[in-house]
Amino acid sequence: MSRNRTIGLFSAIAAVFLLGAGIGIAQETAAKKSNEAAKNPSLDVRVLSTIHATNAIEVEAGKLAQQKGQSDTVRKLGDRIARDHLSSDKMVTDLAHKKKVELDPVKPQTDEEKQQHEKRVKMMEKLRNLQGSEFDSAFLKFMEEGHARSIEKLQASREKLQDGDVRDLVNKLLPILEQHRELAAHQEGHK
Amino acid sequence: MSQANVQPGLGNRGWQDRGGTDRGGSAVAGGIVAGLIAGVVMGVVSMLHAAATGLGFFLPLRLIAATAYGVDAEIGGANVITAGLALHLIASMIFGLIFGVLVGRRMHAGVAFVWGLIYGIVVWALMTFIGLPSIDPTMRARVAMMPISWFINHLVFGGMLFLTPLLSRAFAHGGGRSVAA
Repeated sequence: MSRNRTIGLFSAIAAVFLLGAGIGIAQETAAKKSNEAAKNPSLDVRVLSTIHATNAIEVEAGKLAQQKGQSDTVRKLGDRIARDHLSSDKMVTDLAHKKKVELDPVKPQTDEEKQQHEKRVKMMEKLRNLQGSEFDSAFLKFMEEGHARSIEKLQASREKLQDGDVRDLVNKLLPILEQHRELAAHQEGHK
Repeated sequence: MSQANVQPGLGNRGWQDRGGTDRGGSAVAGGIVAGLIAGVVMGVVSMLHAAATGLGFFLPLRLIAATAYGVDAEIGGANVITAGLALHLIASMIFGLIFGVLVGRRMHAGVAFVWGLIYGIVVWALMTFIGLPSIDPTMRARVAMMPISWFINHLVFGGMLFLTPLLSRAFAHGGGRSVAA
């Protein structure tokens, strides 16, 4: 075999080994990151857990609107919100399963978060007890303000997310939340 | 009857050309009707998928109607659903017409199926990256949540356009008996 051919052959073999090694290292790093995310709750896990908890509230509120809404529009809005948040939650739980993380209840960390949490709990209690047009007004206000708050929080945390899949999911959910906020605002404006 | 326009081979099995251009009136008519049928099939597939995933059977039509009604279409009534259906079928007929003119009436149905799939992908790209962002951002946001089914729906549409040359030939033949070549 000529010298050039030998050099070429060894270069090709070396290139294949380097490529394989590079792929292996990349896969190991990705697996390590995923395992670390699983062991150490991070902002990404917290955001997923928060979305999961919010979905549960929105689904309940939507179902209440379907049962108790006086106007046809409120009942339809409730139906839309419940369906969308159920669908969103499936995406969240599927992603959590893929990342091997647990979606635990999120404890408020700051005073503002505690206040918001208490406000939300009181609002849900109020909705359960209201009837007629009072329910409709309260529901629309809750949906508009609640979605506005969720959008603000997600937009703020989006830049700090480390996992590309989580960021992707947040980017997909944000326009839907905006649609819900807009729908609630339009119906409130038409009262 | 003149045999001048009949060409041997695939695509002309047993029918007699009554003349006229390959991409003329019959191709246009064939494309429109094929587009309509393809649009109906695509619509049914997408609505069944929406129902199966819990999003609501009529959501696809509501989202199409958002072109005119904006986000309020998502909770609109029967008029919104009707508008969505009308818009979808009109668009389907227009895309079918274009396909009919492009493929003419002499193409074999199998070949038309393959071209239809490619055409479906072109329509998908056009709608996803130009059409929806411009005229229906409400639907564009939703499509981002279900990109695979959105893509498959357009493959279904394109694939169904295999009917185009068959219908075009039927229109060219004028509904009479076909004559063995």
